[in-house]
Amino acid sequence: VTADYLQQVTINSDTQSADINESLIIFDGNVVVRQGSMEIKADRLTAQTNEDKTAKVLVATGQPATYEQVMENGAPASASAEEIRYDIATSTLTMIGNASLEQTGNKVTGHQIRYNMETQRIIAESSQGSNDRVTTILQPSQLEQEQQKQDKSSQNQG
Amino acid sequence: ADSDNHCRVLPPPKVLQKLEQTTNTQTDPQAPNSEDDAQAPIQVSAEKSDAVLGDYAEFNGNVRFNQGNRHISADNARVDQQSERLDASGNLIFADKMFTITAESLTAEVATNEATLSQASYWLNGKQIHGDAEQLQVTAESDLILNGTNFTTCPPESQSWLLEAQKIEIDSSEAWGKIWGAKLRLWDVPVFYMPYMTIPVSDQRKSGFLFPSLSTSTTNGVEVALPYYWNISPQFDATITPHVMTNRGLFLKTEFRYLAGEDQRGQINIEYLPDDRKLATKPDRYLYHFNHSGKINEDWRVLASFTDVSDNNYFNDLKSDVSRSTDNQLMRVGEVSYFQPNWNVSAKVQDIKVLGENEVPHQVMPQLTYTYNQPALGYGTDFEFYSEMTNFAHRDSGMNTATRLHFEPTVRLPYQTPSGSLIGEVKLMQTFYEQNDPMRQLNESVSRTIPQVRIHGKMNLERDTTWFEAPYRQTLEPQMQYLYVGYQDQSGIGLYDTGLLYDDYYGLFRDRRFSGLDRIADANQITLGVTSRWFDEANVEAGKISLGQIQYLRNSRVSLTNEVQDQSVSSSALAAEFDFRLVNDWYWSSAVQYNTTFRSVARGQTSLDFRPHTNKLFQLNYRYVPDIADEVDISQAGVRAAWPIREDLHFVGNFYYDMRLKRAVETYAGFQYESCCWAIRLAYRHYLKTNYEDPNLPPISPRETFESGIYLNFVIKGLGGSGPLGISDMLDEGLFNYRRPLYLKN
Amino acid sequence: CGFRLQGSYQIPDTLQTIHLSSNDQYSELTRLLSERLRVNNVQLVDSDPQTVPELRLINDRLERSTLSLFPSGKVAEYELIYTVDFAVSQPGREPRAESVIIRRDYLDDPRTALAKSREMDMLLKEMRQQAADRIVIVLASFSES
Repeated sequence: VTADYLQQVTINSDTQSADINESLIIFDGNVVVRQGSMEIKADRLTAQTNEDKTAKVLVATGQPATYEQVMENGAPASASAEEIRYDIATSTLTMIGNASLEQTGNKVTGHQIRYNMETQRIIAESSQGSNDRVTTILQPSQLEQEQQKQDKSSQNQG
Repeated sequence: ADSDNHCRVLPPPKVLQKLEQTTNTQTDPQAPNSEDDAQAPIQVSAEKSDAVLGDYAEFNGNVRFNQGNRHISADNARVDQQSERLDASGNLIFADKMFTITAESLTAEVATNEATLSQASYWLNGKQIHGDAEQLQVTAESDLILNGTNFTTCPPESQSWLLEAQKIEIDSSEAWGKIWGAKLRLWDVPVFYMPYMTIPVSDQRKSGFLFPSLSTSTTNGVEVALPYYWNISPQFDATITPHVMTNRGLFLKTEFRYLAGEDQRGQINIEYLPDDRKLATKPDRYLYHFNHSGKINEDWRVLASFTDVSDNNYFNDLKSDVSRSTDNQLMRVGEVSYFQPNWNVSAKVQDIKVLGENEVPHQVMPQLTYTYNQPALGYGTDFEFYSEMTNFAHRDSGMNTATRLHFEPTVRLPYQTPSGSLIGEVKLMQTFYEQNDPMRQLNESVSRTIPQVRIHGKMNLERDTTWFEAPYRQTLEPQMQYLYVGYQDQSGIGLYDTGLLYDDYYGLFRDRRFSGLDRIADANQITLGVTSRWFDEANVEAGKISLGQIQYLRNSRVSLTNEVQDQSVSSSALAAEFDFRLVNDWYWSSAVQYNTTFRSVARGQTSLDFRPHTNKLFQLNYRYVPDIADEVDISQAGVRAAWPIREDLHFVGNFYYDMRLKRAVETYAGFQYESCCWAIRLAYRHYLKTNYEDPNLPPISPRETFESGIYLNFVIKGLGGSGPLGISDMLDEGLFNYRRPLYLKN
Repeated sequence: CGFRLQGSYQIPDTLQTIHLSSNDQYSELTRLLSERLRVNNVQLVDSDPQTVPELRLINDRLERSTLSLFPSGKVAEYELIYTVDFAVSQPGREPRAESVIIRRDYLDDPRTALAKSREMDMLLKEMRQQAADRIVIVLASFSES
């Protein structure tokens, strides 16, 4: 099955308006963006398009805007933030404003979270100046399963 | 909280404050007593995190890591999920249930409790132990292994002592710490070096454990003792104490303790001093002691004890763990007994080695006893049956030996009511002897049959009265006992386990004048006695007076030495006992025996106590015992005191004076100064030494009759809990203070 | 002089039925105490302590200390100190720990060591009887309230 970020992006919403010279399309009212198993929901979405009219950067805002996706290992991941920015070219999701990202009990929350779907890398930062912080929760069971997987793999190698 | 929390040692405030912040970020704190921290979810908060799921996660900026009861605060941290390792560094603070640690860097196994910290400072939570370590390891069982380390229990501002070591292992469950390459520094002066030593870490402080102790005395010179504790297994531990004495040599004491099953325990002591320089022939002096006691199961009981020493003055010269100079009888006993609700059987072997006495007692090899009692037999009577078969042997073949068989059935008719009681008792004592007397003075076989009748009546009267205007309930308990014991000439019977009983008020109502069975004194006597008690409003006994005397209707003809008894005496001494709780915390008690025929005091003792608090005591006592054991008169006055002069300064003292010989029998004065982490005890002791002749050990100089010594004990404190040391050790010193535990027959 | 016959036993009604427990049910102290309690009209039951007050004999110990010395320094008189620690717990109330101490003098004579050891066994039996009597007196101080 091809990876989500290579699939075609579809967006629908209550209303849609475009601003031709800035090549900007604005969607308003329960906006839903889909790309393979990924789904973003928001109150408002602005999409910058490339010359060939394909979507380049989507900026969804909501109270909060939400994101869901099924990862390669089959585990669902979900996120929410005041603003979710999806840069399709670099397949990077940037969430700003009490952002939180969760997968199989592990959870990261902070002011801003950058998540690269290709490299699976998640970078979370607190906002400069204010004393809010980034918190991460790792479930031990997840570590344990890996522990069991490694034991099994090392057994049959042994 | 500990009573004197000024001794508590806590990590620096800013460390605690940072830890406070760290633990607060734990949103749903794991149940506090969850056993395994490794299973708890990990919560990390930081200014920035950079992670690849399933691979690694890096955190920077005031990182706070929480996992169950484990909390870590650092500038940055990295969790490697493949190897499940956490690395952290920068202003690092690590804390769990047992320890709080600050360090340069940390590596921890996320899946277990293990962690390794470098350049660390550590504090044991709730204890005074703290120190630094180049490398510190927390094991999976949350024990502590420190390398290149030091530790102390002193508060940071007054670092009186510091113990540096190559390696320390503190086992949290075992309550002991093991130290390799230990160097003790007192006020920054290195005092001594030990390749290996052990210290108590928990508050199950072994009583009497002084670590280390240093003392001087006229006979032993300078003494240094350093006990090693060795916890071999949960059922088996040992204390090995090398004790150096400049005038004698190296005295090594070992004590092994064991538990067998839940209800049996035992102990083996071996003490050895080779070539005692103080004695002419430089003899080896040793002791070995074994005891075992307990319940094999619900019905069987076992008790065994054996002690032997190299010479008669062993306990007088050396400070043994087994007993003190006042004991000169080494009990050797083995007893097995089987119990059932109404009867029991026991078998016993017994021998006694008496130090410093040329007479050797008979050996009981063995003694079988059978006891049966049936309370409500019928018509309200109780039936009791005691029987015993004893075989008396003797080490010296020239002495008489015998086998004795004794039966003693008793029928008792008790009539009890709240206002009094009347008890009738009939007993028959039948004894058979088979004696073997090389001197041909004793009868070869003897049969003795002696009947006994006893009638005891008691009335309970009471009235309400006042005493110093406080209401009291006073009781008056008159009692009367008629005792008849048949007469039979027993001069043909040898003396094996019989002696004259020491009597007091309680003894007036006995039916025996001699212990053992070889002499049963005939009797035709009436005992009159009265006891009065005062009870306060809470019905607690505040005072008691007892008076009693025996009127002999006919004098007893049986005696130990077979001479004719003095027939003129018509009554026993008047025995009286007084016990009063006077006004706040003052107690007075006294016992007197007044011989009415000769108008003289046969025995008297009295003591006045002021006991406001457990370790506050002031006592005056006096004893007067004319021609005791028809040898000498005892007239002895004593003063005892234990008093906290200040919160950290205790005084314990006693002074016993022999009024007849006009000399002090024992003078002991001990001061104990306690600071948070050390205590010093200075004691002066001058006491009458017991010196026994010993055929094969003539000493160098003639044995002094008195010994005096200055004892300086330096005690490292605060290793266990941080409470006060207390004065129980000091109260254990001295001839008269020492209370020797004895084995309790079932 | 105002004395009258004592009308009732001194043990309060709340302790009229008691569960007596000790770590060694065959020990002589347990036997003597249960007999003393029976004489004082106390009913001994074996039921569980929740509903019935419990008298628990925790432990007893015998110690010896020196009272006086012969001029030679040898011990002349010893004091035997027999201590019994026990606790009374009434349903719905905190257990109250008590202890009873019996002291008896005893003349030591090394020349008749075996006879003295028999005397010590006899004294121990008497001290246990005295301890049982004193425990009953202490029970009397457990007021009705």
